[in-house]
Amino acid sequence: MDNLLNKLNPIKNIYISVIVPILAIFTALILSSVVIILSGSNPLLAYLALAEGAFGNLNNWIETILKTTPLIIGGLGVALAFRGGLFNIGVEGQIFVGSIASVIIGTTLKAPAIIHIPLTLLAGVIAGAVWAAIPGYLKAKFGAHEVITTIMTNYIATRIITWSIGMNGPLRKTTSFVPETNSLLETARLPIMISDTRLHIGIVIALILAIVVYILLFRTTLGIEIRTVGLNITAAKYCGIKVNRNIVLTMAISGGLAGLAGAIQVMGLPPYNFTAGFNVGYGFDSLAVAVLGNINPIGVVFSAFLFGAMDSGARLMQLRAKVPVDMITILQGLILMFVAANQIIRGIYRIQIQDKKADKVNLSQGWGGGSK
Amino acid sequence: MKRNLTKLMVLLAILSILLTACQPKVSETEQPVQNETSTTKVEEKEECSYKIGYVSDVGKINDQSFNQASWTGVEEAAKLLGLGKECYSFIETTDSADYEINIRSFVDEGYNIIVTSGFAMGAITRQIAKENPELFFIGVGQEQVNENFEPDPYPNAVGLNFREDFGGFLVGALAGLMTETNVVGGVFGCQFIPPVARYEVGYYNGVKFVNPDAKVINVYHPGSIDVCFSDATFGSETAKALVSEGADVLYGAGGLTANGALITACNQGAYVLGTDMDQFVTLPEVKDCILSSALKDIQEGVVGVIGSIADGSFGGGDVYAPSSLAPFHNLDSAIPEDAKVLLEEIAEKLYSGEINPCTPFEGSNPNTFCVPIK
Amino acid sequence: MEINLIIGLSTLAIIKAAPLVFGALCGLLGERSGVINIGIEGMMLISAFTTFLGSALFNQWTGGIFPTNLSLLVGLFCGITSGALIAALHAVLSIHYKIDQVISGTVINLLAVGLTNYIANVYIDPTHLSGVGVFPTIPIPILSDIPIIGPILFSHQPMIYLMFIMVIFMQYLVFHTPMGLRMRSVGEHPRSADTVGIDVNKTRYVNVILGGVFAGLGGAIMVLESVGRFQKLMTSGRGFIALAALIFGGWTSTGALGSALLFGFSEALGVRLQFGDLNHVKVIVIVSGLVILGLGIFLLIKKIIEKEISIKKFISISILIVLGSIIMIGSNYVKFPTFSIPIEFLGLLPYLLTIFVLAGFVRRAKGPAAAGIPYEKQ
Repeated sequence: MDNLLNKLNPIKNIYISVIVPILAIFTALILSSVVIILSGSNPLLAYLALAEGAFGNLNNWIETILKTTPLIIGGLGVALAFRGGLFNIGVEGQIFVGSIASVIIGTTLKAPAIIHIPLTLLAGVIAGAVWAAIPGYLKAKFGAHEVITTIMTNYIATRIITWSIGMNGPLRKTTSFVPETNSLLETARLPIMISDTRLHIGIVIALILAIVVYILLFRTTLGIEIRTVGLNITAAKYCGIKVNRNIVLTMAISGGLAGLAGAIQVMGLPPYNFTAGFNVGYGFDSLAVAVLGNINPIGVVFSAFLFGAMDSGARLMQLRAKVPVDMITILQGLILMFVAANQIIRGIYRIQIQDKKADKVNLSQGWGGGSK
Repeated sequence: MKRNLTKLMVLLAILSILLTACQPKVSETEQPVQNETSTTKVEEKEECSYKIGYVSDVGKINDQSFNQASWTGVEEAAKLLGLGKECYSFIETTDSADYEINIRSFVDEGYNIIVTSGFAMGAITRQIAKENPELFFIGVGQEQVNENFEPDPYPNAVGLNFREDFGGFLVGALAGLMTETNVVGGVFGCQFIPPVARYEVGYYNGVKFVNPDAKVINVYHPGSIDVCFSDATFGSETAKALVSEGADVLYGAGGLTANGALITACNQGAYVLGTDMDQFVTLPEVKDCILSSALKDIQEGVVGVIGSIADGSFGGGDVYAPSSLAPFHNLDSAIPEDAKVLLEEIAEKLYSGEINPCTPFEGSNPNTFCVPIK
Repeated sequence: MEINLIIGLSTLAIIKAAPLVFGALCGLLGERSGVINIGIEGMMLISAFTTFLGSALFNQWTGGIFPTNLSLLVGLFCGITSGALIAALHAVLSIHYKIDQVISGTVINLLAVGLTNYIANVYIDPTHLSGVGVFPTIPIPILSDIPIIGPILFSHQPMIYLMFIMVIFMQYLVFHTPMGLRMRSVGEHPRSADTVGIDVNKTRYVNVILGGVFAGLGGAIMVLESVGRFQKLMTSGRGFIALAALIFGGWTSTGALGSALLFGFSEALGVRLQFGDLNHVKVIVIVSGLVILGLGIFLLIKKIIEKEISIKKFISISILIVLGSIIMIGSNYVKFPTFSIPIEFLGLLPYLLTIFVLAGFVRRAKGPAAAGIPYEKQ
């Protein structure tokens, strides 16, 4: 009997690695329902509306996918930086920089779509990469801690871009009261996958990128170098890895991904422009998605999908159950906590597993200056 | 291990029972016509002669001024029409990319009166209004114009507009009359938001109209849309600086940021002036310092337009709600009679077109987009 | 006129810096013992929330018979307690459950924003719950009469004085007491500390919770000395700036104070320039000259202390000092164009200045070596 049970272990492990997150979500929903009840609403109505808003019909599914797309790409960017031992908290600014770059190329260049779209995407990538490379360079050259510099570059990017879409700014759409840019030319807009819907090809790009980043990190020399620098800088130096170059490169790739996310948002969502209040908060969301996904590209896809579904379903939850949208933030916090500290879940539901230390990644390796 | 699985089974069973118990609610919305009187809940839903939806702008619905006033108007209108709580609802926008789907959610759910709040939603509201001529749309702060800024009304869409510059001018005049140090201050939200710009320019002009020697120090929050209306601490710190500079009257127009400024200025002994709603009511901390507020009558406007839908007098196009000063409340006796008379005269001259409250001055905010009185 | 300007700016800078300093001290205690805390923002927000609720509800339930300051003190107590409790959550998650400290910080940030907004929406706003007031300004007798320094340093609300005292106290605590030594050894070499008999995890628990007290002070000061009530999202990123100030200051409390003041000063300058009476270009030029001059003097002193003076370095340092002095003195005699810097760019001052000073002054910042790694007893 014992032999049989032992043979079942791998299946048991997969089963548990799926069950535990599901139970984590379930527990978070139960806890949040206490808050909902105390404020006089019906939690069951709220959650059903949330689910229907995310998955109820084709259009809702599409909105979920549209919300998931930038979270995947941004999450990949943050995760990759963490793998390299770097804290890229500057994703918010890098997304905006990518958006603006795509607006500039998308509104001024005249070319057929087959050229215009890749160029506009590339503009977003380059802009984000350059913006992230600045903190990378400051860290490599001056030892400036990237937490400080990325926070600072966030504010700098956001405020300069805000100025640029004001009445005195260069990018302002003059035929509008609203602080916004001109809309992208038709040739720069992402093609729609299902006609008469809003589903653009961004999700395809995002999923391909997830595979690309996975291969990059775990199957290429560059990826090994990045991860070595992230795990142990001294060892990396001994191996002959050019650490400084690596730091800048990692930040650049990370920022490039963020910039691409920003470009896709502008190129995919009507009215195909950038305006005040566009994509606010995606930087922090990308961080949450990345850590929930255990900074693994495949995990990032799943956690982005979860967050995207919740963000998308929130509309119907507000509409039907009159539960304030902040409930989604509470849920996301609780889910993150229960998934990360799955010992709590396992304790509550009495699930025993062997603690697999191998997959436990340390995000804060690079915090204290790097040499270990 | 058996124990764990059993527990799991029990949990899943409970979950599925709960889900099935709620099936009727889910399928209800997919079948709009239900003639059976099976449950009272179904009947209540059918009684909604109007379903009113409200989409707020990026910001907070209970921000004690702009967004709040519109929502309060919806609630009041619903009460007047005898609509139950399930007949009106809101969606709070957290990302300007969501404007379209938020509005469309109400359309898909069968709402026939949709109120959208904020100038940024003007274009998309009009587009959806054009696609759904049988539904009614109320755009708070949205002018019904086309790309060349020419009037272009749709029969099913009303733009409920306000002359913030008038309101700003009136509070500015009041400030100019009440200051004893001849220094007045103002704390504002984002400078690229036209209503805020109109308030500021109107305020400046109003002070200068009654008191040309007064110094007017207006400070905007330098940040982006995600902080400029929700940084109460910045507002408070700025108010301290303004009062140190000698300001004895302070005006705030910028959501939560301005609220911080108003409370601090009040604590430091200055008079304050509020915005959008009567902040004597919504911000009790300042009730002994607040001279008045630049009222936008958003609430009354929303109630009025929804009422016109109900009694059939609704007509599309732009409506300009009156701007006025809130009652003086506790400080009524502190304001001299001739000041009150002058304020009334100014209000008349604003509406007759004799005074232009939006006159640009050196370095003034170009984001105003004022609409002149015809 | 210039004196008043400097007094006004410095006073405002101190007021703006205070929450940042408390937040940085929270991070300091945690990180020095090896526990990273990126949830300072969430902790400050929750503390502001409970401070307001505590003072307002106390005042309401006792019918206002007690003086305002008592209600405020009750609020302060609530704020500090909530800060400690949330910090305890962070500690339990990262020390006991060993989840990554970045994750537990993120959890706190998410829960803080979600819960405070939600409860404010459903309870505080509909009931128009009112704040009670703020602490009065208490000028210190005699000291506040000293010209220039008096109004800047000795004429504040009480928690500002508390901040200064805490900075000095923490500097002493961390670097000159046995407790500080224990804390730092746990943060640098937990294995060796364990061998010597120090309970690593207990030290971390104590430190993180004490840090929570400081975060509580940071949130409370915004309510009790500035805004007078809770407003949604009122921390507006100050917790993250506090974190930056901590790292910028080299994980010392005096360093944190210095960077917070730099930040507060440049933010104050940006606001002051909106008043319209100063020539923007002239001010920017003077500030740049000041920074260059400061850099030169700083490098000079550093080289003298390190006793390495090479001719080349000496020449470049002197160039900096001379250049800075020329700019600052000469700006009085040059007529500058009246060019109004856009408001958003004025708002960039703190961030640009931080990056510049970071690259120029603060070189390779070394944090506690074991920061971020859960300790496993073997």
